[in-house]
Amino acid sequence: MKLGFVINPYAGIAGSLALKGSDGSEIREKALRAGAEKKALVRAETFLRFISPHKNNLEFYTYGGDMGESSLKKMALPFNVLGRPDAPETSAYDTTQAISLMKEAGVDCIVFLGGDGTARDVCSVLGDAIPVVGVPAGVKMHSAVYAKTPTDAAELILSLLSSSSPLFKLGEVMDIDEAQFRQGRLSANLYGYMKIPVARHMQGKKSVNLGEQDALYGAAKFVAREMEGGKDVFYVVGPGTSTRCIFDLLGLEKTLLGVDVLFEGRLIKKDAAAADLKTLLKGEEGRKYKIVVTTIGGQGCLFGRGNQQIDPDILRGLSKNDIIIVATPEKLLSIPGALYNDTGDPELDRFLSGYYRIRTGDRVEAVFLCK
Amino acid sequence: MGTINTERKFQEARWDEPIILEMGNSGERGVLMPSAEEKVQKAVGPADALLPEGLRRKNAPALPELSQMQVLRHYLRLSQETIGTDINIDIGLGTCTMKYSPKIHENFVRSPKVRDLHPYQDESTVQGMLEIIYKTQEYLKSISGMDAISLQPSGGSQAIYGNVAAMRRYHEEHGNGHKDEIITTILSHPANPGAASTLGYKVITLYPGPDGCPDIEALKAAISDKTAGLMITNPEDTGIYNERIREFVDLVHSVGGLCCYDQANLNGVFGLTRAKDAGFDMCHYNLHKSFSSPHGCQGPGAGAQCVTSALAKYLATPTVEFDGNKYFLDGDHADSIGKLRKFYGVPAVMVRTYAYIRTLGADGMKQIAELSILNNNYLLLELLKIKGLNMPLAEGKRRLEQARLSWEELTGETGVTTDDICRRIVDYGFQDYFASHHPRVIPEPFTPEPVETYSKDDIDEFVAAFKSIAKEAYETPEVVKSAPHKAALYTQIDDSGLSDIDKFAVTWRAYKKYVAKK
Repeated sequence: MKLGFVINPYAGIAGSLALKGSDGSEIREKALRAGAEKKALVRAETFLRFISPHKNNLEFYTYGGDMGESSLKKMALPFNVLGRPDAPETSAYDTTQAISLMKEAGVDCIVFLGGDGTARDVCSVLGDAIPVVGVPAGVKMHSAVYAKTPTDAAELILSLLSSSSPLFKLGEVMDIDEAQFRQGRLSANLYGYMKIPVARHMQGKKSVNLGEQDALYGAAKFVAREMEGGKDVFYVVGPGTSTRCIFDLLGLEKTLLGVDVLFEGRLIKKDAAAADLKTLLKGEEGRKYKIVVTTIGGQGCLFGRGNQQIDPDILRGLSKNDIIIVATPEKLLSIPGALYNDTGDPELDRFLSGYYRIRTGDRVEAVFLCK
Repeated sequence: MGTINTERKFQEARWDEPIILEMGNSGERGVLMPSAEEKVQKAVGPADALLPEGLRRKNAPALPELSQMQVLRHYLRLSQETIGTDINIDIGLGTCTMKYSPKIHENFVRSPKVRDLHPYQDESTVQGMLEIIYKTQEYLKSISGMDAISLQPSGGSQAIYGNVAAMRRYHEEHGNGHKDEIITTILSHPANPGAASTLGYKVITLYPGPDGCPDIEALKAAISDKTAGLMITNPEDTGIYNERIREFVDLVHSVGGLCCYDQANLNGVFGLTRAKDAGFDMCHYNLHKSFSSPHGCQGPGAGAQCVTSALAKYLATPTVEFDGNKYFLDGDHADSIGKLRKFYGVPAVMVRTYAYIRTLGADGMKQIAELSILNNNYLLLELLKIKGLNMPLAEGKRRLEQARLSWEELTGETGVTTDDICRRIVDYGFQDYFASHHPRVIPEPFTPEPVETYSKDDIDEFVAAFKSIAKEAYETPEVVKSAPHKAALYTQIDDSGLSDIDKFAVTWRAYKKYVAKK
C-alpha cells in the first residue's frame, strides 16, 4: 500500500500554553519562546512505532525535514521524499504542496498529523478523493477525521491493509476562527468532508453489526417518508452526510456544506443563507416550517456550529417537535454526555434544551438529552 | 486449593481440513446398497416409482461422495478443532450463562422414554411427558410470580416475540390501537427492539445515564398515550441492578402501557426477586441458560413465556393443563396469539429444566444467584488489578452476576484492541469471549460471567491468562495483534466481504453460483 505521511510540525505547539490554536507565525514564535515543544513529532513516532512491524507492506511517501522525513528516518523506515519546504519554518502552503504531490504520486491513503487547521489544508487539496487518517496532534480538534489516538490511527491503516473491501465514510472538517476564539467568541464552520476508513470490529458470535450505514439509511428513510407526508410545510435541511442521505432517497441533490429548503417535495432553495431563510419562512405570516439537522460526531453541537445559517431568528418560536434530528446510534454514543446548542443567544439555548427524540433508524428513535 | 496450571503450553489440533463439499471422488460410497431381489422388483416395480412424480428429482443432488472412513475422519478432525464448553473454563462468554449442565440430565433425555416419543402420539400415551411440562409450568409460576406460562417458544427471542404479540392483542382488545410505540434500552438484547419492530411498533430507545441504568428522565420524556409497552432487562449486560425499576414500571403503567421483563439470563436474581413482585405484566426465560442445558450450537434452546392472569388468554398455545385426572394439551383459546412453532415446545430442554429445579429446590435456586454474584465479584476484584482493564459506568457500584469491562486504556497505550485479545485468549486454551452487542456502548468491551458452577481455582486460572495477555500487550504487542498462533485457525479472517453482497454466500450452492465464478 502506498501511504502518504505528512506532519504539521507546529501543530499543537500553542496548546499547553493556552494560546487556543497554533495558526500564524506570530503565535508560533510566542509559543517557541515560551518553551513549547513540537509534540506532533512525538505523536508521529508513536504512530510509526505501531505501524513499523508491517513496513514490508507499506511504501511511504512523505515531505522533507520535520514534515515526515526526519521521523521516518529516526524510526528506520524506508520512504520516498516528494519535496521539501522552502524555509525551515513550514506553513500551510507546504502542507498543501505535500498533499498535491502525494495525490499525483497515486497514494492509497494519507496519514496526517495536525489539528483542524491542518485538516482544512489537507481537505482544500484533497476533498474526498483519497482516504485520510488524521492523527490528532493539534489544539483545536472539532473535525471528525481523526483517529482517537496515534495507536488507533495505526490500527485503521492495518485494517485497510488486511481487508479486501474496506468501508469508508465521510467525516466533517471543521475549524474555528482562532482570532475570534482568543477574544472569547467561538465560531466554528464546516469546511468540507474527507473520506475516512471505518474501524472494523470482529463479529462477535452473538452480535451482528448491521453497520452504521444501514442505520443511517433506515433513519433517512424514516425522515424522508415524514417529509413526503408534510403538507404546507417548509423543510429547512441542514448540512451533512446524514441529511444528504435523505435527499438521495428523495432523488434530490443536497448541498453538503449548506442549508437547503424543501416545500412539498420540491427543492425550492439551495445553499440558503440566513437572510434567504428569513425571506422564505418569515416573508408571510403563519408559514409552517420544520428543521432537519444532524449533530457533529464526537461533539454533539446541534445548532450554532457549521449550520449558522439557521440563526436564532429562525429557531425562535419553534417547538421541539419541529426539530427533526437524524443521527446513528454510533454517532450518539460518540458524544460525551449530551447534545448542546451554541446559537449565540443563551436564552434560546436554554429554550432548546431538554430531551429530543432522535431518528436513529427506520421507525427507531433515541431519547437523548440536549443541555 | 488445587493445582492451577497457568502455563499449559496449549496447542490445538490443526488439520487444515477442506470443507466436505470439496472432498471425495465421483462414485465413492459409504454404504453400497444391494439391489432388491428379482421377485421383489417384479412385485413392486422400480423403487423410484414408489414416489409420486412431483416429488422426484430430475437430477441427482450434488452431494459429496466419500467412504465411511473418510467421513468419520473428517468430522473427528473437525471435533478436535473446537473448544466446547466442557473442555474449557467458559467464563468469557458473558450473557450466555455457560453453567455446567449435569450429565445425568443427558441420561434422562436420551432414555427411550423421552427419545422415542412422537408429537403425534395420543395424549393418553404421553402422560409422563405432559406431567413434566405441566409441573415445569407450575414451578416457573412460583419462580416468576406470574399466573400463566407457555413453554411453546423454541428460544428466548421467540418468547420475546410472543410477549410483544400478546401485548398487541391486549391493546387491540382494549381499544388501544393508537398505541404504536415500544420503549426499550440501547443495552437490551436486540431481540427486544427486533420483535417490537417486526410486529409493527415504532421503537424508542433509552441510553444509560452515568449510573449505568437507563435514564429515568428520558423515560418520562418518552412515555405518552402512544406507549404500548416497555421491554427492559434488569440487570442489563453491565450487571448493574436498576434500583428504580419499580418507578419505570409505574410510569409506563400510568399511560396504559404494559411492562415486559427480559429475563433470558435469570442468574443474578434467581430466587431473590420476582418479575411480578416488581409490577411487571410479563417476563420470559431462556430455559437453556439459567436452568442448564447444553447450548450455543450444542443443543436446542427453549423459552418460557410468563404472564399475569390478565394476559393469560393471549399465551402461545398449546399449554399443558391438568383436570385432576389426566394431563392434556390445551390449545383452545380464541384470543391466543397461536403457535410460535410446531407441537408443544422443546421437550428435551423441559426435561432438563424439570430435573434441574427438582434437584436444587427453592433454597438451591437462591444459591445460584448468591454464588454467581459472589463468583463475579471475586472475578472482578482480580481482573481489575490488570493494568489497562477498567469497569466504566457507575463507579464503585457492585455488579451482580456479570459485568461489561473495557480495555480502552490498554488499547490507547498499546494499540492492542479487545478483538486482538479475544483472538489471543484462544492460544491459552479458552474459548474466545463475548465483547458486546452492537452498538458498542462501552468501548473495547469484554463481558465475562463466571456463573455459579466455576470454582475459585477455575476463576484464578482464567484471570491468570488475561493477566499474561495484558503483559504481552505492553511488552510484545505484536504477539497479541497477530494472534491466534496455537489455535486450529492460525490466520486472521478477513471478514470485510460480509459487508459486500458480491463476496458472500450462505450456502455452498450460492457460493459456487455467485461468488466463486467472479
